[in-house]
Amino acid sequence: MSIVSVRFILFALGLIVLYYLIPKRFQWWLLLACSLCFYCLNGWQTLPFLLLTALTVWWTAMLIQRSADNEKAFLKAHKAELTKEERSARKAKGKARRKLALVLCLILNVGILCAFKYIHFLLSQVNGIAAWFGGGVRDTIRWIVPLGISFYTFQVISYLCDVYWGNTEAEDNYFKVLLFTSFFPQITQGPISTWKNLSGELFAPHSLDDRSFSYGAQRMIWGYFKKMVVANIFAVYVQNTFASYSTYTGLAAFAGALCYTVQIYADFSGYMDIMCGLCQILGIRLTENFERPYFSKSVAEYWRRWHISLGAWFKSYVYYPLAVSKWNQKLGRTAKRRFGKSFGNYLPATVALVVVWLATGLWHGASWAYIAWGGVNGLFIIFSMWMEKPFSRWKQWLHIRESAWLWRAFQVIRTFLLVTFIKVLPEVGTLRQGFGLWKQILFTPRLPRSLAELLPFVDSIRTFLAAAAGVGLMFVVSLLQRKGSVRERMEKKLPFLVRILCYVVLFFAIVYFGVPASGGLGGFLYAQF
Amino acid sequence: MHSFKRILKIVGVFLLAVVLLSVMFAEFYLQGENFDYQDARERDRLAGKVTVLICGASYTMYGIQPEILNQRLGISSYNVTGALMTMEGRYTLLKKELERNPVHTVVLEVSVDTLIRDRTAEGPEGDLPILGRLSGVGERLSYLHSAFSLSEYPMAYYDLVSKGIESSLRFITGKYHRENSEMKLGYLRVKKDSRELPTNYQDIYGLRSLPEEIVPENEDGLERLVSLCKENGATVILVVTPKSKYYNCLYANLDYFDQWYRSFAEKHGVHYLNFNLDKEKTTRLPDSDSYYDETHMNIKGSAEFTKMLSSALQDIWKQRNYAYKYFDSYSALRWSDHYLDS
Repeated sequence: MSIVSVRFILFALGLIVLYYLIPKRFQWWLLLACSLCFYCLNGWQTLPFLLLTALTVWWTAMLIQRSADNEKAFLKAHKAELTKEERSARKAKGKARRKLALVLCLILNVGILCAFKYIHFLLSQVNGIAAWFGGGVRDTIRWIVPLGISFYTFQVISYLCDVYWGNTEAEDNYFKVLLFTSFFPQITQGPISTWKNLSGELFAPHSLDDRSFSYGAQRMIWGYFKKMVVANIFAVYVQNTFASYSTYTGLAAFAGALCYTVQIYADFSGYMDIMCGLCQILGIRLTENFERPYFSKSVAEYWRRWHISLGAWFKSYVYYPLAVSKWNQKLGRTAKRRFGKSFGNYLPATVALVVVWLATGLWHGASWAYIAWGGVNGLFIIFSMWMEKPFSRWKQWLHIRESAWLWRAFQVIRTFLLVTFIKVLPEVGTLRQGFGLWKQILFTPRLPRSLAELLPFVDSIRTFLAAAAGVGLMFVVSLLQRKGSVRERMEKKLPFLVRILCYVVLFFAIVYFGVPASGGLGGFLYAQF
Repeated sequence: MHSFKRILKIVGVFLLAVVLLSVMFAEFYLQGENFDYQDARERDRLAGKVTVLICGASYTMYGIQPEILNQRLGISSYNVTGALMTMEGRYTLLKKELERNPVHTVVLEVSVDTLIRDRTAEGPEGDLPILGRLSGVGERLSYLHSAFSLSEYPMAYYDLVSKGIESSLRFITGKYHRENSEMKLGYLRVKKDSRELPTNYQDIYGLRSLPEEIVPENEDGLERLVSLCKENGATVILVVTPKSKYYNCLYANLDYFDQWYRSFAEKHGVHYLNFNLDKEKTTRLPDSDSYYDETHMNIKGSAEFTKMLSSALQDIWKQRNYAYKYFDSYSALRWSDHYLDS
């Protein structure tokens, strides 16, 4: 069921009405029923995998929790009888058992994810190598990939790890864990939430609140505007560019790449607005996934503002464990002794970042293009980290003030251009095609002779102007958001009828200019990951 | 309770504003008659005077000029047609005109598309313009109920409002017309440039085939149309408008559909004229200057075809033998003198 459909809107309306009519203790049950219904409407055949993931994670978390609780109780009860060595041995044994349970569960669920997502990529690599020896394996696998498997697998991993580390207690109700896994507003495109953040929201009773309702509805309309008026119109331009960039001038190819930058932000953040808005109506606060990412001053900052929950997940569950791991710390100490303090300090972080960014690339897509994309992102971040001190010295030498608006504008524009270039690399098709687009942009300097040559992917100027106006509106709203919530300020400064009129205008803009989801062009981009 | 009342107020005001503006935009569209297929006012003015009705899809909309028929035959005719017109659309408009006009002949345009197009699969594109061609809220709501499924209502809303917004913009820029300047007696002057059609008939002959899957709803719809005409005492003539020679050569199985229509006509006691088999068609409607694409005639072609149709109508009304003027089949046409010469 597409989010951009009348069916979904009726589904959401039905949910909202029922949610506030039923007794509050049944509200999360209703959310669970709707989430499973939503999942089945998108392909019931893969429901067993979702249920299996939730079951294995719930059971393993319970096992880990009980083991930890029993150990704690035992040690407390026999405090006087046990020696220090006996206590340490018991703790080590218990930790090893819990670790084994964690690892086995992770292997199972990550294995399912890899099997569905990477089997074709793996087979193609195996065939590539086998071809040298005259052999090969036929790829006849035609599995339906479970909806949202990348997102919900990461979400349950965070829950399991948090239980293992003692950051949160295991939930003994399987159905609550199932809801956490399958919660429909975030299953297809995130945000990836932790148990701590989401459980309090999901299972608490919620009363009807007019402000939440109003803000949530406003946010949903804004999300639909971004998706249908901006993202879906730009999707056509992007498709035209990726298909024909070799015939474009460099500037035209770059204009097409810019369209992709706009499209993916409007698409992804539009989805977030729709779902966060719906959750806000239900009194549930989801983690924010964007914070005006195109105003970032560095690639590192960009990734702290774009798809925030994914970055936070990799930081908590991959980067930190790797960075503070014994072998990495040992590597750092060895490097410090041999190559100096700076090298020794940065090396563990660098190793962790390389792993994180290659994994991020792989998470986004099963292809060398995505791995390269992740690698390029990681490269810029690592380079910035290593060059932080030299850059600082150069800025002092050149008398550049960090707070000067010209310098900040330069940083923002530089980062935006870098991010645009990096983004398109895996989206054109293969890695070779991605490099082909870069080559076209950088080495075809011929100036376009007319607007039609600058924007050859545009079929209707009127539609383009409408979408461009939409982008302008998004930019203005982003600027206003620097000083706080735009909705709250509108409520304080504008009369009620004027506010309603603004959203009525947005509604009709969606009806008139909006392109509904159809075929391959209108679906949400991040759902493919 | 306070929250609930405030929410009701917010939702109520929002919906009220949306409904009021939607009605306003829809009225701009419906009153403006500045879209191609809007001719309700013209038909209202002629009500009670029309004696010959032509009913069909775009082949007729671009192909038959009622003014020429009227001049040649001394009648009052009207072209109740529209692009992608569905069976329900044809029935609704035809019924309305039959009820208020002394119609003695109905020319029902038929083609391969009439039989094989699947309304369920294709969606409401052909039914949407009909809403603009009906008069009054009651007729439109009734058509919405009979022709559209529930899931298509949002598309109908979107179509009406979008056209309404465009009409409003035309109003603001001073281009809003009260009279429909695009259509005259249901004939739409084609605005597109003529396309040069291939002439390598020997090479392309019978290269493709059309799917021989007749949709049962279309057959039922055709029977319904014929019954409606007979109930109103009108002579029914099934007409296949002339397509380009390129089209007639390209498709191998046009005889399948021709035979189907002949059987249908015989079964229901109606006339059937396939102008592609008219012996004068190749000379009077050459591909070089009569068509703007493979299947639709341009202004010159439609003028000539209308003259041919007027002669055919006279033959039928005067009960003259006209069978000798037509080939028996596409196969017979193919074997006629030098037919496949470029």
